[in-house]
Amino acid sequence: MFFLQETPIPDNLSYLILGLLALFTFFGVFIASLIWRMRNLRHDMALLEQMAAEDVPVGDVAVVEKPGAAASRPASST
Amino acid sequence: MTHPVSPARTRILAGLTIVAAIMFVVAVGMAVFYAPTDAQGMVQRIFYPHLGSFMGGALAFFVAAAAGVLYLITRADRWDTLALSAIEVGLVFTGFNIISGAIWARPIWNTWWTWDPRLTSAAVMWLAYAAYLMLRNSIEDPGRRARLAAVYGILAFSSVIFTTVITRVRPDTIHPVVVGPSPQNAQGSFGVSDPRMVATLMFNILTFIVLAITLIWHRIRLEDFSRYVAALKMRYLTR
Repeated sequence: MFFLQETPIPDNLSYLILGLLALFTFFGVFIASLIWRMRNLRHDMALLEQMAAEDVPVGDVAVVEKPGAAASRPASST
Repeated sequence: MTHPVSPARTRILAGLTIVAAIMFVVAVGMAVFYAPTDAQGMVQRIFYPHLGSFMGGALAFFVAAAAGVLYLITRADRWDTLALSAIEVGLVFTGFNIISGAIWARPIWNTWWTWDPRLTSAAVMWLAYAAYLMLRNSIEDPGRRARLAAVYGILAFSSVIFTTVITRVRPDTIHPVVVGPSPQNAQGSFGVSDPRMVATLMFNILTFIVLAITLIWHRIRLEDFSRYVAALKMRYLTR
């Protein structure tokens, strides 16, 4: 009986999987960015606390070197 | 200068985060395994998080508009922080809403995207809120930035209202609706009549609202901590 045949349900499972991937990607990336930004701030905070404890002058922050670094540096021509 | 993280609030937020994570897993599980398969096939199941994410995003944008009004009245920084946090979260939710709609449309409408009134208004809404972040980054003075951002956040909410009602006022849209009759040209309509479908839809909407609140709260903490560290840096540099 042709008229009693039901319309077959289309096979589009791959699009559902793609949608779920998008779901986990969107929220996963946002949550990872929150964690990453918080970690960076904690790192900055720890650095500030360390500098305050060591009382490093502000102008010297960029030129702090490890002991012996100057000796291993190649001699400048100037 | 007090540290912005309170231990009591941390405990509440940790509890809320666990609840939101469990609800999220259950909501996705209900959409994939519990709701019955519609005549459209498996892809119809993406509809549950699709609508849920729009509700979560719309709530976030409403919170941002309300926070904008409160900032203009009180000039308190916490409302500016709330507005920024809500908009960032809202962008994630509505971004997924648009992408999941495109994924559903491919097998049902035979295209990823069409410049339909509903789809276009959703895209304009997302871009309007993305521009909010650019506006903030372009202004250095904190007071002026907060003031302009508050006004912009209030005005941008009109795009959310427009996107929500457009299927009711534009008969030429092909986007189906689930509450009330679909527009006459709607393609890919389906009924949410089965009790399992209704339960899955309601639970997904609730889940995405709880998730939006949780993520906004986390983003607020991040912003508060960021301002605290910036103030510490400034104090260190000017001592």
